[in-house]
Amino acid sequence: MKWLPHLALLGLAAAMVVVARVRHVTMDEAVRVAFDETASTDDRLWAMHVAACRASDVDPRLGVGLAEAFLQSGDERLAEAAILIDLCRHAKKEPGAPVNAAPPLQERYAFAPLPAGGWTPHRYRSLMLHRCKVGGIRYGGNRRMDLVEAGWFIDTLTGVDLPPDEILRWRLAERGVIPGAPR
Amino acid sequence: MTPSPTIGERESEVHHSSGAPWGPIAVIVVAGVALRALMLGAALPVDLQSDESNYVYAAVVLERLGFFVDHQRYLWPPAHPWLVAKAIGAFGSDGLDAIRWLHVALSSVIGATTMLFAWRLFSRRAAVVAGILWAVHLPMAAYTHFLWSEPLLLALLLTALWNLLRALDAIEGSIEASIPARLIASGALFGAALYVKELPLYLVPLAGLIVFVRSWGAGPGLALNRALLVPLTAFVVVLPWTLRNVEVYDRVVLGGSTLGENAYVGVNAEYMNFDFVPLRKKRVAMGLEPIEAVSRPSFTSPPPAEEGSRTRGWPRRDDVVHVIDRQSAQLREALAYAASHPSWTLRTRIKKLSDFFTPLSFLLRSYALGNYAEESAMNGPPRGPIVVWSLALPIALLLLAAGGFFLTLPGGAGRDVVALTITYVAATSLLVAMSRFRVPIEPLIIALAAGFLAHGPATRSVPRIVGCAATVVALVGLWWVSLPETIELARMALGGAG
Repeated sequence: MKWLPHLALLGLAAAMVVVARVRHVTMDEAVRVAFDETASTDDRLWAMHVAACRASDVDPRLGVGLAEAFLQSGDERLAEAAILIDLCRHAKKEPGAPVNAAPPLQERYAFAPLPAGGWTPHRYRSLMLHRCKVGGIRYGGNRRMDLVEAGWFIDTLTGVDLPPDEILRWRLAERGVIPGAPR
Repeated sequence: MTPSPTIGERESEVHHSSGAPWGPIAVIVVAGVALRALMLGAALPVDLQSDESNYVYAAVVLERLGFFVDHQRYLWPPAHPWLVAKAIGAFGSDGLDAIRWLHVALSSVIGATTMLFAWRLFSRRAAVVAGILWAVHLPMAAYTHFLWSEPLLLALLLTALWNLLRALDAIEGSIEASIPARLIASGALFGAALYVKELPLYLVPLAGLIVFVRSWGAGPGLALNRALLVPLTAFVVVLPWTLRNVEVYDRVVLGGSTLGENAYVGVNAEYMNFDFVPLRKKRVAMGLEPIEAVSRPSFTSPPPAEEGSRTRGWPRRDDVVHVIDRQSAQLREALAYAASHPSWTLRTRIKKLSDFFTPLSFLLRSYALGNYAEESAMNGPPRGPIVVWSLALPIALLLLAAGGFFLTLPGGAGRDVVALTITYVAATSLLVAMSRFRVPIEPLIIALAAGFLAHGPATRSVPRIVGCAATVVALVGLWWVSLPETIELARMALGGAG
């Protein structure tokens, strides 16, 4: 009787381990699902996350192939996920680029010319996710979000309009989020 | 004049009294929470600082993309970003302030537990004194308007320790019925705390060890039975997150994985203290050198052999792609560096302890950074008194707590738990130290200080008197080590040029 709580706890732990084993996804399966255009966005996101974090070496399938696939998918969530640290740590730098060069695919995407309508929520999120990640410039990050920028990011998630383009551009330039942009 | 009760009489009062002083606890906690609410109202809007932004980053990714992203240099436990994400989902951009209000609410748990500790360790009178000290502890109160996870951690860690202590009391009093429940509650709360920070990771087995030692009289089998309950429960509570980490990283990670990054920061040539690092930009703008430049070189300068070399110390192991593997790779670098520079390691550890027992705080850092709006009620006439009070209070509390621990606190389970927790948390600061890392033991320091204020010295034991004197001398010495930086930051906090 005195060991009953211990046995119950061990049983609970064992049940959790069994469930985890049943739901386990192999690396190959994770990569396959991440590339699978017929899979749901959530499944592809999770598969990308698992594959990118589990890999012990830089994997160009993820850093180039999957990053391109996500960025060009037309799915905003996939494109934003491609900008996170997960795939940036597998990025392939361009020949001759310095060691600290930012991941080229993500850098080009985050700083692509704005569409005719100016800043969209997706473009703003992409820029902030790229520039505000931890890890330094070699992953594209160069500073942290301040309160105003975080507020705008959250607004994009809740459908609140972003401020006018010129305000965004001025402020992001002033904060160094966009290097060299006119103030 | 009524003589002070002896330690034995006070123990008797606590163990045989009808219960905790809930009336005074309720009144003082309400007052303390009201003060924190006023402080929060005065401080808003307050900008994000350092790791606060990284918590928000993790939270918006979780809210937007549905998974918890690591930060390349470390993997944080998920609870705080998860709460921020939930608040954002519920309240939009007001969600960040909702978390700050949650911190105000959580401070009621912290205040009540602080008073309970003082009551259990000393007396009802000490509990009231502790409550007042907690209520007016502005550096702690300020964490309610920050977005760091300390309030959540404290609410869980303190209640875990409280249940541990009550379990030890039940063991001492042979109140068999309540022992398993208290131990399981303690373990569950430790496990929950591991979802906030990995700090308690090694405290959990040490708690089990105390239970084992204190239960030894009941026989080794029963002692082992009880001792296993705390770590086993904590393990089961943190297991879902651990299994998630096994799936994502193919590595076992209980809580978080930050040791390697802390090793990079703390066991490397460049001296870093995050009470000062964020001020560098501001000081450049003011035409001033970094605060670290005024530090005493004996405790911060890199090893002489490396002076003048292009790169000092060791670089981050960015070549190791895997986040968890990088932690162990960097830890190995740090150990090798420490082993090859033993005298440097020793003198810089003294600085770490100095940074840990500093009178500075993140409240003062916020003032120095100019984080409160000019028109805020945190500025203007109250600023000077707040800064002076926030600087003086930790000094007084630490000195009084030394008296409380050595001269007033009786031996027994309470002493074990307090000594273990303070020593453990202080030991973690030997790697990286700053004022924020002392927050987890601040309530215990308050309780000890309150015991001394309420009862004064209660022993003539020479070893205890010597221990107290040595601790006071050590504290004064540690404050001297960092005095130049303390003065610099205090000047900035007061609104001067530094």
